[in-house]
Amino acid sequence: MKHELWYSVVVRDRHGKVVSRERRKSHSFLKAWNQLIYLQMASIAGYNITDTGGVARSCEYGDQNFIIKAAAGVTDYGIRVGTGNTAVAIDDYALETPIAEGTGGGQMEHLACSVDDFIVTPPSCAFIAHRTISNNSGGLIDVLEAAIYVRMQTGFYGCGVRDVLTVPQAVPDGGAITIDWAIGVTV
Amino acid sequence: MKMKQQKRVQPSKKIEESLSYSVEVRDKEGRIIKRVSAPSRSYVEQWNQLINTKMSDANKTIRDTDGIEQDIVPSAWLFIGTAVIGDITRGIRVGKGATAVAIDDYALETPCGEGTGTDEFNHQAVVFTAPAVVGSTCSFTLKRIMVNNSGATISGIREIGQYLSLTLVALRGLGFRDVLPSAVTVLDGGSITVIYTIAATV
Repeated sequence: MKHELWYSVVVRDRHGKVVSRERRKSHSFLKAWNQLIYLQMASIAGYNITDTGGVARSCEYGDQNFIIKAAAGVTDYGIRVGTGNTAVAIDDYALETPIAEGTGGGQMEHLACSVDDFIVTPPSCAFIAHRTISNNSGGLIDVLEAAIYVRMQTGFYGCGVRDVLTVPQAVPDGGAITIDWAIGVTV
Repeated sequence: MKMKQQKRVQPSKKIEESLSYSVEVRDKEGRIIKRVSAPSRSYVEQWNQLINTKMSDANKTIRDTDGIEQDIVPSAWLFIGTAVIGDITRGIRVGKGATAVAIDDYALETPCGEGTGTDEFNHQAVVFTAPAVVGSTCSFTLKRIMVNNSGATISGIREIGQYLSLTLVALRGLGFRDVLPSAVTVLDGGSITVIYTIAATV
């Protein structure tokens, strides 16, 4: 029995028409995710976790760990996308080349990141986290990777999940990419 | 601009956060008389509900180990699975229930109590190892030894599981539960050790 992870990516053009779709099992709970589980379960303080800037940060159990519900424009945490395509490694601590917030070249506008309520459908219990990221940069942007950045108790952020997309997703100017991440357990 | 429809991709390689367990039974001299290791079948719904509570930073209704639905806030106490000696409200537990694991299990079916009475164990503290990366896996373990000082053999141990905090005090939830492939017997003066390993592998 495992804690399962799936993602779905949908790309739409400026008229809302779906132009591409990908859905697959995720490759990617990372070291930081398991370290946060450990921190919470063992009620540990003063344990180092590498943050999304690549810096080891002293972390502790607390009410802020794992939060991904982020407001529009916030990119410190929540679902993120990028343009790197290096294969996922267990000690990845961030996207390889994250796409920044904005309307400049290569930038995208991040809408709010939301988390649905869980649904129990025996033999599973699952929920979905979503974020839509719009391209108003004036040019096409190829998205090759996606991740879940989580808050950590002491004011830093960790990369809990990362995936390299099987197919690069070309997001046209005026279009958007929506990532849905399903997190479930099944007996 | 007309975009080319891209091909839908089927699942390929998998990665999950996996759970496995090992059980060791020792006699009063410390000799191992039985050992069982297996992949766990058993994160139950409360585990994922706690993840959901943390990620969404929102109150959720979660069933406690008494089977009562409770309003749970995203506090610092969620997931804590430590337990001191003799504390059976949290930490690894063993029991005699043999009913197969279901996603909505909220407690062990027939948990063994703390003490020296019939079918009771003296529960030692839960001990964690820190996460370690080996190859493409990051894992840590939690372990508990339960000693049989009841004066008689305790037979028919069939289930193991982990109780977690839902609140600072009082409310506890079941994180995972497993039914052993066959019954385990712990002699008087002997002990049973349960080790769970939680791993992420890319």
